[in-house]
Amino acid sequence: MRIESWQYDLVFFVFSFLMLREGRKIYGRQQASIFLWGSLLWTGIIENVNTMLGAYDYFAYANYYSFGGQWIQGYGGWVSWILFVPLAACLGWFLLSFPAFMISDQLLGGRSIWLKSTFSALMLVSWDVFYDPMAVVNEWWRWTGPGLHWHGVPIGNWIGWFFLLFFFGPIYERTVVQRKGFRWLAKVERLLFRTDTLDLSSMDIHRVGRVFYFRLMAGLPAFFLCCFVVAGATTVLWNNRWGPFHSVFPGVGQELYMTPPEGVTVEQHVPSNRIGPQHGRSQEETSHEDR
Amino acid sequence: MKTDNGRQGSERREVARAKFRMAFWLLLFYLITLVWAYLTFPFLGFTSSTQNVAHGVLVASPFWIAALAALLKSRRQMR
Repeated sequence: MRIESWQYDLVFFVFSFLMLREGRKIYGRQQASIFLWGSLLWTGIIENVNTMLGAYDYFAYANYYSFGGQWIQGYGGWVSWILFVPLAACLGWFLLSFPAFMISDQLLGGRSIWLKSTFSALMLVSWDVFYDPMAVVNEWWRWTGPGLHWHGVPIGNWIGWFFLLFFFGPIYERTVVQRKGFRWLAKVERLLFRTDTLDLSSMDIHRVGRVFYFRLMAGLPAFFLCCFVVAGATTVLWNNRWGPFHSVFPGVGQELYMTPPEGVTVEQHVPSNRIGPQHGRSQEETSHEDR
Repeated sequence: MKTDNGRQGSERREVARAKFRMAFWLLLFYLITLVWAYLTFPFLGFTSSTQNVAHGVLVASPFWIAALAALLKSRRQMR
């Protein structure tokens, strides 16, 4: 049976709330809220950029939605969106990364923040290696680019998952938990915040939050560079499947990258504005519904 | 923000309880996704949904083992 996107929405919203509630008791109300808003900002930007660059999309349910066998026109299948990405997808990252952050701290204590972030990032990757193939067969999201695929999911996705928390965790811990700074950012931050940001211990928590959001933005280029190099290398070296769906955001020069070479058969390319789930699925995927 | 060392005994136990619950919710969430994996179509490359579950237990073992370890550790701290 198909696990519907509303079920995904429901479970993810409920568990996000539970994680936030417990996180407030562990880290404090403001600190937990900063983690939540930081996660939404971080994943909202990264997911939207990836969607617009043609890595994947969340539009399988666009123009139709089925509920109890009835089609509901005009409902995109997700309760709410952050631009082109469902809010539940961003909250999903929060509901996993927050406890993973807590668990790495619980198990590794006073070790290096980079070691703890590696541990928690690997934790998340291992969960997603299990979870993402389920998204493929239920069409919660669709892969629209080529890559080294395993169970229908490009390896680059898990590389991205790793770097998501690998960068976010240390920035949060250094800024909000330890109230310290990064030397390479200190000069720019001094200009922006008009104070010494290497020591935030006397700073109001709301200002600490603003410093944290700024540091996340400063970390974005590092995130994209690492993903581009490592995930790009796997695609160039071991690409074994061309994106089974067209991207609805055709980028400049994307034809060079997306078009398979002579002799390579694409499983199925269809316009994204299809009207039903069967139409856009590759034969390999639709065969599962015959069960 | 207070560190664990700066917290009073009762406050520390309350935080340990919250950590315990957070790890518990995480494991419950994982169990729900395992049930989904059993109910839904086989993943690409699989022929049955039982394989989905075996795959979920195996590849996500670092995830649930770490969550379980944190659960047990916070349980000890609650006492």
